[in-house]
Amino acid sequence: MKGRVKAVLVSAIIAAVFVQQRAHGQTAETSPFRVLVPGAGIIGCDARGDAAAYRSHLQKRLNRPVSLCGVESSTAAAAALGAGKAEMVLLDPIGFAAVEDRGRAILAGRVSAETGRVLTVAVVLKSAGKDTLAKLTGAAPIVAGDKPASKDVPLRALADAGAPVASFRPVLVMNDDNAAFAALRTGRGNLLVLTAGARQRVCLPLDPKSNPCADLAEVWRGRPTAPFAFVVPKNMPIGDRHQLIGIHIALHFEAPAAMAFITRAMPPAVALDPTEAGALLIRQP
Amino acid sequence: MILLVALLFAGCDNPKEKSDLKGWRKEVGQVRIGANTGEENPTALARLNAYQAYIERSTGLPVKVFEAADYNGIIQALASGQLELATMGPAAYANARAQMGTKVAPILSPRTAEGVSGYYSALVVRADSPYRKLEDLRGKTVGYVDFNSASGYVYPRWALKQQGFDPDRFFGKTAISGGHTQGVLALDNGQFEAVFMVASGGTPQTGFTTSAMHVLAERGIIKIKDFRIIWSAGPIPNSPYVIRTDRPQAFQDTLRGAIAALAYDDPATWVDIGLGEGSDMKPMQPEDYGDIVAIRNAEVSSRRNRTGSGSSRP
Repeated sequence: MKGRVKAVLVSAIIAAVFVQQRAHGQTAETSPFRVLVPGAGIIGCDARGDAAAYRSHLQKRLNRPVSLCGVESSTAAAAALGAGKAEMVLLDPIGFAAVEDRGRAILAGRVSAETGRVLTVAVVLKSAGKDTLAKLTGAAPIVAGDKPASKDVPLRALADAGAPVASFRPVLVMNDDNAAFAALRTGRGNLLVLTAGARQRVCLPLDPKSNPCADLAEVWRGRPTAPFAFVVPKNMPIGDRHQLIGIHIALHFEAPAAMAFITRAMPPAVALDPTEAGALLIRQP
Repeated sequence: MILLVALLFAGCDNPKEKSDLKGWRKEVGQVRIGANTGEENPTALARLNAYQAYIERSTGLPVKVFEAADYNGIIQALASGQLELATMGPAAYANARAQMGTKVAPILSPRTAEGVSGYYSALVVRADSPYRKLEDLRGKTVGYVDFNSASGYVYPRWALKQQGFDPDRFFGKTAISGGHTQGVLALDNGQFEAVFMVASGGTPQTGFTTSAMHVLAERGIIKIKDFRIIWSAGPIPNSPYVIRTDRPQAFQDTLRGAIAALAYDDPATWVDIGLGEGSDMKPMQPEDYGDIVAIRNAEVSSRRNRTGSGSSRP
């Protein structure tokens, strides 16, 4: 009896201290932050090597336990997220399709220091009357430079958006932004595919009365679909989502071993970038 | 002074006493962001307030944005713990690092859609002047921006020395204009025969699309064709967002994530605060600014040797 009283008292003290600490926000979250990653060689929840480095880094920065588990497929990871059994999962577009009403992408891989998921615009002459992607069949595209960020990624973004790229004529590669705009205006091609930044630079009015691009129309703008992305529940508090982003975008220099795990999980990522919510959406034209 | 007045005023409502804050939020209490004339876009200053609602929503803390008339005001406020975050030029960061050591660190800097995260120092003359190359400015009156400006003082002086020109002897007379736009206006008014200024959105080969000249031209105050760039140096790593590292790690991570996510969460606000369409934030670390720190330290040592006063003026 004496032992039971003592146990009750100890429990009460622990509970009181816990309540007091919670009231002052001094306790770390004790429930695990559950991460599911398909295809990175984790068996069950036994994270080893670089996977353990990632789990350890995330645990330290979130100041709460982290469980990092392997899962057989993106679809299975999506199902777990949908069922509330994970806080963050790595998905591909097919897996995301199953949970797009409940989840949102937050981080995707960057393929090189220079090249991310470039915000792309498709521009035509207003007089051409091509105001939808579907009307671009047989278009002659022009790009402003041959680097991936100026050519390959914008063209892929257009293809991901459902533009009829298979019907396009060979791509005309110009040396710079201004030359690409000039090529459109002189009819050397009829579709300008370039970064939003390039469009802004060329179309920026140099005095309040001018509009250097009054003769042009933007048919489409967007980013290529991410091949993989970390996805969290849509109702995750914005601050929690931003904390995860803040931790992960610096992973490649703050915790290179952890980044090595991410590279294996979503090749060929060399770093992570924030994403828009629908980064994994497969778009229809 | 503006900054100090604003901070004093801010001290009256002591947000740290808000009982509904918990954990690191209670510890931090509020987010105080300092900004002055940016290296890349001087007009971004007034519009930086657009960050407030977004950062408040992310951090759950009241946010105040403070402006200072020059770089030094921001550095002093950061060093004295009156700011959590600040935007400043790389040379101003180098100054802050010299004063604060590891208590300050860069966390982010803008990067273009093409992955470029650097800018240039340009030497500008009036188009109707006879000056076509650097050598033509021997003995002439030239304007710098600010002792803490990378593109308007520290970097071009270093680059000139690398090319065999001693800026203290080569030019006839030099003065501080106080800002990039002020420098261009002073050039336009005939106060200087050339001024140093920031130039970005391109390279010396492609030409530049963002500068104090472009900002003034957009407002209809000057015409771009009335000026000519005759010399440039760079690239210089873009202006960083710097944070006090003695704030809780969770706060630092959340703030870094919030600013980096803005380009994706709210592209309209991103552009409205003066950042380029399709650009984003590159995560930064102190090593990324190692060169500019070394250049700035060498410049300070050189100035002390010249004056022989041992002055601590930056």
